Amino acid sequence: MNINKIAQMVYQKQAKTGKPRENGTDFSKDFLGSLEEKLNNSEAKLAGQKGKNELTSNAASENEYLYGISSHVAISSVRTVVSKAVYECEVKGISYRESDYVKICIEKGFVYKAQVDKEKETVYVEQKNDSGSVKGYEADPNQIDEDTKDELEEFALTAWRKALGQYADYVQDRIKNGPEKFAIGSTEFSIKEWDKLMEKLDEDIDAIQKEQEERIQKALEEQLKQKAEKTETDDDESGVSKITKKKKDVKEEV
Amino acid sequence: MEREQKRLEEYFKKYCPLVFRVAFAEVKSHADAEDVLQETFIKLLRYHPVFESEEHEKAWMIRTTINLAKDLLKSKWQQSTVGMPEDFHGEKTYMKVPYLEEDETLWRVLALSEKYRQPLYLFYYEDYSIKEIARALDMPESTVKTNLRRGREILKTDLERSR
Repeated sequence: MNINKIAQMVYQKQAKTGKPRENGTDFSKDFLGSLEEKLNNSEAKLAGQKGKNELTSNAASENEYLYGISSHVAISSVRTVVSKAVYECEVKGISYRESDYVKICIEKGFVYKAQVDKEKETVYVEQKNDSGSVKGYEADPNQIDEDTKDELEEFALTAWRKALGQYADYVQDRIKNGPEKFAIGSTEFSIKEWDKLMEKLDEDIDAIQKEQEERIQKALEEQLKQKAEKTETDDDESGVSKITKKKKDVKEEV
Repeated sequence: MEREQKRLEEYFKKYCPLVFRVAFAEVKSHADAEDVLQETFIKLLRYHPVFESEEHEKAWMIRTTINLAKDLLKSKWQQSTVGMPEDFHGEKTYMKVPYLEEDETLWRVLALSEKYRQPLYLFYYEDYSIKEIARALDMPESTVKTNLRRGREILKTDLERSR
């Protein structure tokens, strides 16, 4: 369990003033109050934005009695909301190659890289600063105002529009020219056409193999049949010769 | 022999554009940049350096390119000849930085002194981190950060003056 430094400071302050602790409630109130203040200040610094910063947190708190000191240990997971459309998130560490749009701001000392997710309709923006820090943000382009003055929002919106524009160009091209075709030998195939051709080829090959097997099976059966017939006739012949031999013998006896 | 050739081919495919751009940033001439590029890969072939990681590989490439570019600029031929000033506009077409829109700021960065030009170019145009730049240029990270900040300030002043 980690006790925040604030708890220690509050306890020491209490100890100096000599105020008695009643079930630790005054101490807990002071501690929680100081903690909230500290979190709000640190989040304001991180966001670096004018106006209010809303703090959303899932906090789980726990009462602990340790050596007569009661303290609230607040465990919170905080997702910093920068504006209504943008919030801070985990850094993915994308390269220029993986980005859909890159903007260099040498004068201001940072680089913006954007990665657009068309399915989720979000834009991931990574800010690389020349101080060495890297920050990740996720923006909802549908929530961004058209005339926003915020640089990050503006960048996210531009990246989103660019991606949409590229997609629109792609769709237009597909409608106009059909699917992309690749030259194979002297002809051209699209991926769908090629897959269809391969499927048909596989089916034909399977059919030919089956036919061959049936033919071989038939031929074998016929061979066996012929063999069987031959042995029967041999037996018959040998049977007839026996009968004639017997008759001869009988005649001779007679 | 074949394995060596294949290895060199792989390195060439991977690093050729980067080495050319870094060389061009130093020498500002595509012909000289191509010479530096060639020399870098000759060194690679001659000395067979063993790399610990990809980071080490990149750092070696950049350092060697920069050192060879410096040697070229110091050479007697370079010192006794001067290029036509108009040529540089034609040279600009050879410098294509991938994934980025064309920007006049690049040429202002390339016009800065070596101390600021190298970290600025690698950080903003080649997407290197401060750690990678420090390794490539063989200087502490704090120095890289300082040079980035100072270079940025000089550039800002320069841009404001030109406006």
